[in-house]
Amino acid sequence: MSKKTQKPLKLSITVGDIQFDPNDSQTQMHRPRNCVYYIYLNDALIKKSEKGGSLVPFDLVLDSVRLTNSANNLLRFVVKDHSMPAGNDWEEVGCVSVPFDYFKNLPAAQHG
Amino acid sequence: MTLFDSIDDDDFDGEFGQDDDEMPMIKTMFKVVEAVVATPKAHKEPPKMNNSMASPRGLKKTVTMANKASPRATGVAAANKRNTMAVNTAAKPNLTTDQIMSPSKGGRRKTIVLDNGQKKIVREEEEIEQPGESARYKTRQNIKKNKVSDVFGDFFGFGSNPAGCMAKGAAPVNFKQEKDKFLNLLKE
Repeated sequence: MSKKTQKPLKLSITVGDIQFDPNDSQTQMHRPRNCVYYIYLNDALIKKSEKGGSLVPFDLVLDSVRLTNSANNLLRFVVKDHSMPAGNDWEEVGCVSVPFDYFKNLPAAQHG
Repeated sequence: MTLFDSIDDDDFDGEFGQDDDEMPMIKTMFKVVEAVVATPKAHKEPPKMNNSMASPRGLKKTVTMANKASPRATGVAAANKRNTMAVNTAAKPNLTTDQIMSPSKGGRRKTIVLDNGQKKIVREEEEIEQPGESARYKTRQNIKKNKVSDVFGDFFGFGSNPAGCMAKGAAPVNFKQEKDKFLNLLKE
């Protein structure tokens, strides 16, 4: 049996608006329209949204090498409030990282 | 997906398709355009057995299977059977049918000890007659008899018992006569 070649994963990513908890005092000063989304592939910035809008869908092609080492690879979403002074702790809204393992063996469909 | 405060601890541990409970959260959508198929491991064909690798066990098993093949086997199966037999024959060219058949079918076998101490399994009808074996066997038998006699004879200090006295069918011992002999010896 011949060894099959591994197809690259083409991932279309869409980030919608951020939702805050109105009862949370720590995040109540942030406004969705001031938020900017950053997407990192490991530590490399691959996409940045415009201020005050959701991130338009974009395609990310993950090649086989990155998928092979998927244990250490992750896709990180960082949200910053650009109405706050740069470098201030209040600028950071939050972040979340998705390990590549989530994308392994996913059928071709929409997930979110 | 819920957003975390620190980059050091921001791993998403939920499930796609389900909203996290806590806020703030962002709504994301991943669309897998081209699925990644897990690469199957290359199928390893079992190593072909050459003549030196063929084990006797495998040989026996294959021969047995070939013998059990249905008489209504197709031409392909019959050809495979012939090939198998041919391979097996090539694997052990010196192996004859008699050597691989069950010992129970080949008559009774016996283990004999040669002069140099080696053990050899032979069929009963093929038992090797060694030169001088009968004389040596008799000598050994006599030594054993003498040992047995010494054991029983020395108990009373009369020397060894006469040969055959302990055997079945020997004349009964006259205890009175033996007692008299014993007392006379004490008086002397």
